[in-house]
Amino acid sequence: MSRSTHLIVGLFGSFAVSCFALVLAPQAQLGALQPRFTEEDGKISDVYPIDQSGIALQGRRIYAREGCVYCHTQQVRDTQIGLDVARGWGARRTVARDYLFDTPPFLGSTRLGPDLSNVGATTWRNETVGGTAPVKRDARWHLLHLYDPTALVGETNHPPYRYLFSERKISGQRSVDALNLAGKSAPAAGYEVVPTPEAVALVGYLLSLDRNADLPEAKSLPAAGVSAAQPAPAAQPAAPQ
Amino acid sequence: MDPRHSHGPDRVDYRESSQDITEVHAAIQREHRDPSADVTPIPLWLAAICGGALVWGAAYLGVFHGGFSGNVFNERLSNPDLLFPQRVLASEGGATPGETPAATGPEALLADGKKQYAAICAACHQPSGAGVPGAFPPLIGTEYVTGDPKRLIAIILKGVVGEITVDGKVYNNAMPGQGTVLNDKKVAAISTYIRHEFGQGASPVTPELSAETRKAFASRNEQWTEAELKAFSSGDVTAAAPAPAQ
Amino acid sequence: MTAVAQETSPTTVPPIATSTATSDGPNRENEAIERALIDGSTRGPVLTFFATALLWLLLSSLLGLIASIKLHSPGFLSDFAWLTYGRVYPAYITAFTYGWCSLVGMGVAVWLMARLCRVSVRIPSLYIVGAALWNIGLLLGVVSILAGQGRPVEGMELTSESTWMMFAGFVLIGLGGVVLYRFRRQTVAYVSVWYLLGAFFWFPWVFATANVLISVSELRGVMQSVVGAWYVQSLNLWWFTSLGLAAAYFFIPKVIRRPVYSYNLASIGFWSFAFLSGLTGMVRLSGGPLPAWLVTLSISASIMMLVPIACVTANLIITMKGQYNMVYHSPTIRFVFFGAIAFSIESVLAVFSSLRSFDRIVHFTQFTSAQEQTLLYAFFTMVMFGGMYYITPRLVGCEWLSSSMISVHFWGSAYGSIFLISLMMFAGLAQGLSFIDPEANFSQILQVGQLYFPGRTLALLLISGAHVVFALHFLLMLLRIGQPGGEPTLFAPLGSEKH
Repeated sequence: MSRSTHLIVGLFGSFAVSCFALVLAPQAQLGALQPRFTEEDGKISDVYPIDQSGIALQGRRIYAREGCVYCHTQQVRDTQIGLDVARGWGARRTVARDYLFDTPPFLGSTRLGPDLSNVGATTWRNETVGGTAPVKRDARWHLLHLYDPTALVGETNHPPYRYLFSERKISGQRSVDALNLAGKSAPAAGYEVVPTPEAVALVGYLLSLDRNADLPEAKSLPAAGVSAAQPAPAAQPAAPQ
Repeated sequence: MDPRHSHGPDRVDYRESSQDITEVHAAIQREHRDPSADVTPIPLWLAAICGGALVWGAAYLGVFHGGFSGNVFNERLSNPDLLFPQRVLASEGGATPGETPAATGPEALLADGKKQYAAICAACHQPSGAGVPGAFPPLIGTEYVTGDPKRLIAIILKGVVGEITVDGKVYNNAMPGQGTVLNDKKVAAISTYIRHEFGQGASPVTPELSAETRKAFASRNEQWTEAELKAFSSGDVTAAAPAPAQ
Repeated sequence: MTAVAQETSPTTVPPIATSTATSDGPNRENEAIERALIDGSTRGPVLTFFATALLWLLLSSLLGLIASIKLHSPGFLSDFAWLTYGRVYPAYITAFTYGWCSLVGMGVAVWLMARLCRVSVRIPSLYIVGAALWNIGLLLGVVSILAGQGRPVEGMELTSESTWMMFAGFVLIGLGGVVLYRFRRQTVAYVSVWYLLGAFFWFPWVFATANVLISVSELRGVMQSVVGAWYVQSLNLWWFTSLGLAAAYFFIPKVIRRPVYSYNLASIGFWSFAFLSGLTGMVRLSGGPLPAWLVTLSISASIMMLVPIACVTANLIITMKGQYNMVYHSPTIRFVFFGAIAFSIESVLAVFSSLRSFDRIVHFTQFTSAQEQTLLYAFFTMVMFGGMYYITPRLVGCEWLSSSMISVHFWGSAYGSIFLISLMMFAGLAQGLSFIDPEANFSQILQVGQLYFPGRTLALLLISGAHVVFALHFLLMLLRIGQPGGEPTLFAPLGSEKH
């Protein structure tokens, strides 16, 4: 072989090794993943994760379109390497199976805001800060936060997404969907601010995010009652001593 | 080499423009030969750095490879006993490579038992375990639930018939045995759930224990009576097994 | 740009084969004519690459500034959906990497390839059509991102249509590059040629594989993120770093008139770089929902990357030894040497920050984006600036107009990038440390970042100013407004110490 042939074969070899190790091999493992489910007498129940549909799917597109992923991650890290669980971002670390139906998953690489893996769960960031009770983050809260973040969380660099809302003249009765705005961001008298379908879909998507379900490869901390009861010796979990 | 053979519409003909020949040649004339590379052996210190890096990298892979399993997400589970015995908590275990998910642990049994109880037992004994006065006995706090787990398993497998006194009240009804419907794991799950939920946190029951009990009474077809249950002791079970925890 | 320059004058044809400090041999005149012919053939393509790349550089500087301002003043331009942070930021990164970095890299690569293989470009229009396709595809892609139609995979935001257009453009350019190699008249391929050839092969393979996997095949779940991370890392190393090292391996020995210290070192460096860098991709997803072995493999490869880093650094530094004074004279050497140092710093940093114990602190913070800046700006872009300062006079036939403009450009870029990078690294560390501090609540952590973002905007302003100066200077060169040929435009007169 000539020097050139060596060079080109070497180049191709390096590409093949890389492609095999970082693309094909993981695909062979992760491509075979199936949702977790329980099968009883031929009936399948308790499936996790499930594919998104309806408003959550539409909202997912808005989430992608507005580039939320550039500031918000959707991955909870192991308790050994971070405080993600302690900060209330999830009950357990996330694993590959949690993202089975996310195409693509919004894992994110920068945290300029909190992690949103489980933002739809009632337990999300339910910490008491400075003696105030945990905030209940329902659809109204999220809509208001999208329109005027400073009204809810004080000083923040979360951008206001006013273009996902429309301001209109109140005709007859005030719409039930209209935001309850006060102060600077309140519309002029006789006007109201209502979310567009896009904003509603986005919030629908956010509220659908909950990856706390147990998976065998990543368990949340067991309930106190169970760990208190002494397990029978033969029933030890597979974890090493 | 004839410059007029150069290609492209915007070529510069160096013979025609005296301006260009000066300028281009001036910039290029002062250039030196294109660089080459000497053949020099690698300095020892550099070889040492390279060798060190290779050993370090290989050792890192050897230590934290996670068994090359798709189910191990925590790199410390690669060789935990050897390296970080104190750091690996059982609760953060995750499945070990090549093993089916740990579905027989107490947590899994408990979750499964809850479902089985709701499907099979709750119709009579009620979701709360309180039973129906006069018809079905309660499970809460009775000795049948908190006591010998084998007796509990035996009841679930074979059922009960006739008068029975539970919590000071007399019931007379028939409970069908579930031994043909439930496998050992499900029996263990139900027992674990009942004992945890209604038996003040009595110890969990393993599928092994229920298999053992089923074997011991394999030839029995009829339901238990109160007298038999009262007399139930480990002595009755021929192949006595080591008691569960405690 | 060497000491020989004193012997030439703008008005006279230089003497033929006079004995100079080095023994250039009797065929020096022939070599010079050959080079002039090659330069004449690459003029159209290379200037096209340079000019469009500079337009992208200016556009990306603007987008970067907007994105940066939004981080500390979220109300800024917030009513324009097209300019929301989540769209401007990927548009900025895309314009910078595919517009500026790739185009200028291809320009320098084509010139180097032609020079090092000693062949003229046969069909310059091939490259120009390729560059046009690339530019149009990219423009469509960036507009799509701003319109919210980008592909939602980080690092692969360009839409399928624009990637195929750009790929078609690259095939023309890459084919041209490979044809140059095939018909080379220089039998022994120099180190730079290895890297160039590597870049010309790796880029289309990686680009096509990743885009096909993402847009055509049905990869599920995290595999899409895996492919995205593999793609971005491969591009950073196999494409940008390869092109940058090819240029550094050429310009440093060329300008200081010395052979590269060791062929053996260069060879070990190249092959270890080729095989290891393709395995490092998953450090980008360290701590994420991936099987442990995948990330461990990449970290292990990252550690072994110390081998190519040590070899390349030692080779370039030992080659420079005793000639550091050239940094004061030659703009090319100053930019390229700055870039080479940045390469070594960033690579060593990448090794240590890939370790889990360090990564757990700085992952998800500005630290990672500072590293990206070091690689793509402080290393790659600075080397390319150096290359442009060397190549452009040979293509347009006059020298750069003003050494003070070059100086302003250098100090703006150098100070700006050093300021930017160190600021972001501090911000990243501060934020990372408070992330793992159980006492700090989350809104306090976000405030930590707020302290640094205005400084970041300042640094970007400084850098953008330098880019405007450079773009103007380049425009003047295109219009042939410059010093008459002969004397290179240097920072300080050369060779005074030699008299």
